[in-house]
Amino acid sequence: MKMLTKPDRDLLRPTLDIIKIERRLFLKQSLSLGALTLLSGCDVTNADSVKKVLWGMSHWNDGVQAFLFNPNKLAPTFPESAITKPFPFNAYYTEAEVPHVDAAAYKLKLGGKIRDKASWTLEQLYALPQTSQITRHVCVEGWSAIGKWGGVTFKTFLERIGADLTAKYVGFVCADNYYTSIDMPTALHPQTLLTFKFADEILPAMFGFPMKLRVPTKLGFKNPKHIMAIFVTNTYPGGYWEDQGYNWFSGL
Amino acid sequence: MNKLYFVLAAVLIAAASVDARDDAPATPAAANPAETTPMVDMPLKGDEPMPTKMKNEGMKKEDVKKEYQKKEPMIEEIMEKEEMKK
Repeated sequence: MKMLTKPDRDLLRPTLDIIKIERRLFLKQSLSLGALTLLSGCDVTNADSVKKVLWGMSHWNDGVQAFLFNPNKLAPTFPESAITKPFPFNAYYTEAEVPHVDAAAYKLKLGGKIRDKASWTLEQLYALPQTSQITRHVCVEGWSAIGKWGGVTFKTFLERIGADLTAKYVGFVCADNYYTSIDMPTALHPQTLLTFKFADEILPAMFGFPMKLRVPTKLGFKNPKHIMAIFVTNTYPGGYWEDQGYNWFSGL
Repeated sequence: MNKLYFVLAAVLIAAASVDARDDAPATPAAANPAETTPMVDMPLKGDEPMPTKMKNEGMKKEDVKKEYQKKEPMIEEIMEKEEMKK
């Protein structure tokens, strides 16, 4: 094949540019055609049909994010000097309405694909090997803050209770009726912690006493607080915001 | 052309997975475990709108409990009946 010389390329440039533009136009038209095909496949006045299509797209998006998720890639960590003070409170209720969980009566309930489903008291949970991290909490509403959380790596806890680590989902039910779920690869990520402390103190009620799942690789609403029950399953459990249309995987 | 194949594949896959994630069927309201145990006290004003940006979406605080009550039978079934493979 003969190589083109610079004069040849200069001569052909307008033609090459037209080919590039036409290809771009073709791609754009294909996208529009794809969108039209999707819309024409359903009645736009039928909200359920549109909703189903959007759910399908979101589900596909989850699959792509899960595929791209690197279980060994760590979220950035920060020095103590970078911690946000005061750390913002955020929930679907005000600070005055935060649930108060009785530490003495508390028992973490376990279910699903777990070998040992015995409940855990706080004393037992505090006796697990503890670690801490300073990471950034990123809220879907557009703000972020850096905090220090301490607890047990979730992988250690899942191994200790004999969870089926090949299952797809880990779900959470919280004292404030919030519920959510995460994928197993994220549950096993080295920075995913079941936390009992914030800023080296027992987790205050406003930040999720008695425990909060800290997932620095996901958006804030995937970090449940006031956890009362944990289950492992292959059945898609969804979550409160996820069931309202927020993206389920919500990776960072 | 590779990008075009990718876009077309995305559209086809999305259309094929439309029914893959239907909402959980609505079931009669079940008891909230947090309220049936003495271990939680939550003075929630359920009929008030959610704070901050959530308010703009017309959501009320009690919506979370209502959605959980719909999901609870499914979660309870997972909790109680789903077992490890032998």
